[in-house]
Amino acid sequence: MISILFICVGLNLSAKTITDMAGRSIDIPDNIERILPYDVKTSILLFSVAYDKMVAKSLLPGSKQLMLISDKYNKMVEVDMKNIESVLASNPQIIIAGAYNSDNNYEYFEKIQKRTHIPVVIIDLSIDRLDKTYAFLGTLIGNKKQCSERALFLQNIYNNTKKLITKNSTNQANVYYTLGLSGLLTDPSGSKHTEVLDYLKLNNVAKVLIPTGGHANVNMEQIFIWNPDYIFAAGYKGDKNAYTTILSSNKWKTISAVKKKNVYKVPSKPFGWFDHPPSINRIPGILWLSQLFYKNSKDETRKQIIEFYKLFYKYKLTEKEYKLLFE
Amino acid sequence: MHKKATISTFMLLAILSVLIISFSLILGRYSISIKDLWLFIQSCFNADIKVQPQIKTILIDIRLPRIIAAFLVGGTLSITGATYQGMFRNPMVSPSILGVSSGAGFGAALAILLALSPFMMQTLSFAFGIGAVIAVYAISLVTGKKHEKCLTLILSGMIVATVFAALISMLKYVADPNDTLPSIVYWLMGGLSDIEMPDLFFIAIVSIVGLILLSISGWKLDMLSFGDEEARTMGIHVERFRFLVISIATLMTASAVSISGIIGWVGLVIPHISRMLTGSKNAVLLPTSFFIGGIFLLIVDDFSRTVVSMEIPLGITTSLIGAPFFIFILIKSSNKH
Repeated sequence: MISILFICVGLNLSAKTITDMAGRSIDIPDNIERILPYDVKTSILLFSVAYDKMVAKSLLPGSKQLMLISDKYNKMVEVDMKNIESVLASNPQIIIAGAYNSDNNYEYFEKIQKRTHIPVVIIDLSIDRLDKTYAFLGTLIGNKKQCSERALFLQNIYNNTKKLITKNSTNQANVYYTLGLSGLLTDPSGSKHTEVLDYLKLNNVAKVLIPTGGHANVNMEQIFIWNPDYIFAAGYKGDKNAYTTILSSNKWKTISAVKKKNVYKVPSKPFGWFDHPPSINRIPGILWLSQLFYKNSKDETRKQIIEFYKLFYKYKLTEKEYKLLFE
Repeated sequence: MHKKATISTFMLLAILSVLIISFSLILGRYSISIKDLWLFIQSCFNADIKVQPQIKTILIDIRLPRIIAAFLVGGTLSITGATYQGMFRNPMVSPSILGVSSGAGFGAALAILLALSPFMMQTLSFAFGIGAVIAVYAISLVTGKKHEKCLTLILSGMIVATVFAALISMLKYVADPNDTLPSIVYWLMGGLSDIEMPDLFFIAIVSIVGLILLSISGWKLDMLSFGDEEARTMGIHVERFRFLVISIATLMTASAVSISGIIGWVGLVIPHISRMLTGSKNAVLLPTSFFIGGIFLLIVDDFSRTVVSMEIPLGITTSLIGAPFFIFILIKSSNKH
């Protein structure tokens, strides 16, 4: 144990000082060959540009084999960040941690850095700044070409989406997002989990008093009042889930979205398109919603999403698999 | 308490129940006026009168099942709490003392983790609730040969509850933090937001039969509160009677918890409030507890579903509303004496 500690401290000595995306200055080694992602959302983001340098991915409770992502991701060893000894045993030079520009408390990361003597570099996972994050990673870890390719891809999507939104700014649809089984568990407006809706300037009907940033349970009467035009259901597993509940229950049949057949499952493979976790996996969500709400052509959307899977999950999505994503 | 006073107390409670139930029907996030309600009632008898289909959905499919559920769950938890407090001769006892809530919680969490249907979730929750109490009873039989019976039961209850609490934590730990974990957490905090009519048949039968059985054996419970020996000299078969009471109370509590999730406080405090009103004769106390518990949980649930646009879990509101209410009752009763 002690020898590992010494190695880590030793590595830190041959260092340069950089400023990370949270504005902290940190000393890091010159050549970075061993990276440990702080959590799952950072793992997913790093995978496409740094899979050969990642010493491990982060532990995702409750998950088995992930589909529609390169086998390399599935086969990577897992490290639980809570277990400091296994963090040290994986012997990374740096830890990369994703945060959001709304966060301003980095105490957790400082603590890990202090305890392990491994520098923690913070990158930005905000939905509208992922291009900048890849550009930053390019200079940090040295895979410049791969990183800028992804930065460019994202920049195009951002610009395109902005144009589509201004062109079709009359869209006034009310959207309700639900997860779980009953259809009554929602992520309210302003939550990190529904940033995709906010980014696309869609009106998330669930505006609740207490800004928990997380989930909220609502009751059926409230949904009658909100009367959403569109419903998106995530996290469906097993035979019964919010999607089947909503379509089969008598209570829901007078809701506008059900009447107009605007109830959708949010694709979830390998990761949810809206969140779960809130990382790079939200980009297909943006593309899909711009098709639904802002008249992006179906062909264009499909092409972009297939390209996304190739670039970020290193997975060649067939036309058939693409269709299956929505079923 | 005199017979006359008892009858008038029951009359009062019955009238109060009906009033609060009717009032709860017009209360909710979606505004339905008394006039709408009246029109709706008329439309049930007169086909010519039409009401908006949405009003019918809200009244019949959403509010009514929930109101009935709140009343039955509150009543069930209170009467079983009162029963246990009498049987164990201990005012700190609640219906979950023999591990039924922890077992039910584990069953529900397991069902959520395995993505089973709501029906299976209630079934598993009910089954594990019963299973936990069977385990407690078995442990108390094995360990309690020379110890005091009630004490070993309570201790066995604590053992089983602890084990199930650990198992629940384990399920939470391995659950998908995105949707499975919040579903488990919300279930454990208690709530009635997705109750539907068919969910109610079982608890309705169990709680009403239980209410009658417990009330008519109230005098035996009175005997038991003097101690096992005294009860035996009065001709009561103590072991068999205790087993029967535990069985009835467990069935009742498990059927309540399996639809409502874990709701604390009601089963502990309502019996005390009832005792202050009617005295401690079980034949009167038990039905009184049932009605007061039902009314209490109904009022609390009305708050839960109307105050803000998100549901407030019942586990939270029962304590936040119940605690000051209990202080008020305590002050009132100490002034009286």
